[in-house]
Amino acid sequence: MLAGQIAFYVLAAAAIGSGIGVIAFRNAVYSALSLIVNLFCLALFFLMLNAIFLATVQVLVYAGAIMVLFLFVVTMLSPENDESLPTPDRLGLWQRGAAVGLGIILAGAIGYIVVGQAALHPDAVATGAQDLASQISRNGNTEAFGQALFHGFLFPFEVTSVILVAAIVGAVVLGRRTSSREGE
Amino acid sequence: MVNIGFQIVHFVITILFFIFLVATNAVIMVYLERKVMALMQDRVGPKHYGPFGSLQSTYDVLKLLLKEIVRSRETDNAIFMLAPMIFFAPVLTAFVMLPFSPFMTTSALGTGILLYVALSSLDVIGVFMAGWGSNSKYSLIGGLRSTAQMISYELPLLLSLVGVVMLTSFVSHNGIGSISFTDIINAQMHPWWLWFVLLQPLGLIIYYTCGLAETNRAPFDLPEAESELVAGYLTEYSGMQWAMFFLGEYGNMLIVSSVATALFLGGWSGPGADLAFWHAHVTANPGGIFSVADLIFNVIAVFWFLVKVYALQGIFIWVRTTLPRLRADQLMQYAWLILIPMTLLNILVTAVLLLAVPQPYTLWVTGGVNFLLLIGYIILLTRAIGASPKGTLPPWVEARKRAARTGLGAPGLPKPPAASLPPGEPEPAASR
Amino acid sequence: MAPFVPILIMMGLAFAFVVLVTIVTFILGPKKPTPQKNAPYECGISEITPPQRRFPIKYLVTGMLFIIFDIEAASLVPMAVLMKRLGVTGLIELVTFIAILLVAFLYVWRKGAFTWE
Repeated sequence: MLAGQIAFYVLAAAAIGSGIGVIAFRNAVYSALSLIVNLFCLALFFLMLNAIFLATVQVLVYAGAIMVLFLFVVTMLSPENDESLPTPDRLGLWQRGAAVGLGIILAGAIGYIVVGQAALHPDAVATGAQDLASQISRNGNTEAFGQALFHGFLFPFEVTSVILVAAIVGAVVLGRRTSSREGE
Repeated sequence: MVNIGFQIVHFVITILFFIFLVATNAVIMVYLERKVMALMQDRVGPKHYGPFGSLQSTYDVLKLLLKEIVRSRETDNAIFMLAPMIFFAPVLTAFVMLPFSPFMTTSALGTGILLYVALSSLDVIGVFMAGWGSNSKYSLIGGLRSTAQMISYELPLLLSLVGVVMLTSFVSHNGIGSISFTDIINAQMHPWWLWFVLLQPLGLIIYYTCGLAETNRAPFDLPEAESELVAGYLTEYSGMQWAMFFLGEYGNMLIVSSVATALFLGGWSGPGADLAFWHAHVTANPGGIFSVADLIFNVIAVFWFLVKVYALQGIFIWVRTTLPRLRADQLMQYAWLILIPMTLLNILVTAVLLLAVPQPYTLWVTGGVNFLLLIGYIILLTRAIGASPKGTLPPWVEARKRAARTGLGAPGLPKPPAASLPPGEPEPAASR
Repeated sequence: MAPFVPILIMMGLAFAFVVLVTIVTFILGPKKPTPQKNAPYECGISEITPPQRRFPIKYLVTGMLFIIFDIEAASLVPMAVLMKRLGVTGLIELVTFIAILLVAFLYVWRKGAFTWE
């Protein structure tokens, strides 16, 4: 499967390049657009693993919905015009410390997965993730996804809707507070 | 029989067909739009070049190719140049999962509907980039409005298709539906003409409305409201770069119509394109062309698909000449307060009926109730728009009342006491 | 053929097409820039202040609501695919899911997030 390997390495390079772009660009809109490229590469990785449904939802929710919100926020704040927001050279000591700490945790997690060959969680195995993997090569694994979602992970699914409600309330409260401040 | 060489030839033919379709569709639609609009408005329309002016839009394309690319000195060059690509690429990509006939399709991706919606949400980013990269006030406002509009109408668009997916699940023999376009078209041939528009008319109407908004067509062409915003996010674009957006927009119209055809109007089914009729002649693999019968069958199938697509695109033109443009806030409220609740209601009602009504009557009852829902939707719409002449007053009376309410006083009129106004007077042009 | 190959090819073709057309029109078209021509469009007068490029906040809540309902719609699709299989249980799940989100919808409505302008 040489073609697959070449595609993987090209995609990986694009993903890493766009990832560096996210933190390297001074212009916040450029960063956000790099993040879109990055998320899109991630969707293509899913496609290469034959997880078509996940790839589609990745584009739909992340590259489509969440990044539009990011762009809204970035242009609303327009950090390059605003003196009160932190830029890399104005970061406080604790922010640098937190960044280093989080970086160590991330490196540790990646190292654990690479070295330890992490397996599926026993719960996931019991509720049909293995079954899902066996069905995944079939054309269109939406129904496999649905089976897992509505049989195995029903309770988490319904809890998700409650979390979404909380998110809505939060969005409205924050939006109203900010807009009343803007209005002054 | 299906070897790799055949696959490659098939793929190349299909892709060339799609590119040809996108390019010619724009030319044909521009001409048709001008001509049909002219006829509807009692004008002549293009008439100088070619018979009935039919070469007009071809010349337009040539003219655009020879135009200078003007770039304002304040644009953000990288984003400005990338935006047409980001806008156009999802449009062309969306054709990957559309089946124009059993042969004319590249890959039956399992997630057709979701992929279509996902790709149209990538379009939004192209529009945003165009608006932001131009760095001109009109482009910015146009881009913002367009982004907000497109994301708002994407929700009812996806939700209105859920009913169709449910129907595929119900019609299928093992209870597993599909969201791939090929499977949905096949499901509509199950008893011969089970077009889903008969079972989900409300779904089609709402989907089509959202399609109008997604493609920024009238009456949802606010981002391009020339009286307010010059040309919206396209203000700073010129020549062929502008034409790329235009091509993308017409490609989007083609996709919206094709999706509606595939999901609601039975795709390529029609007189003569029934697979059972050709069964004796068509080879075991319906996606291939191995005999003359295969060829004829596929030509008929593509013909019926295109007939339906162009009928739907004709409605785009018709709507454009008929309806006035919406106001910005009305547009958003229409999506959030009417379309989304309506689609959720449609999903619930369809689900309940499909599960509750006993077998031989299920589809009849579902379709009937959905037609009733459609009537209810139309009544709601007429109420919400408030376009009825009932209860409206002559403009001067309205002006006088408004003056009294704001306390400014119209010139030359005595200020009436506030108590003399009728209580509970309705807001003029109320938005809900 | 792997399912992602046509997608990549089509995307590549679209990019190539736009680049090609831009190059062709660059070669064919005239290039006579003047200061007036290259000024940002401003209805014929010269620009007084450059645009701030700051979007107003009123669409921010719309964006957040969009994400939430987008996730809802995306999870309704696998549910609809299995409609007949899941049967009444599925219906109850569906009603619960929609009802919970409807509460949020009504809350947002009452709070006036759907009034623009």
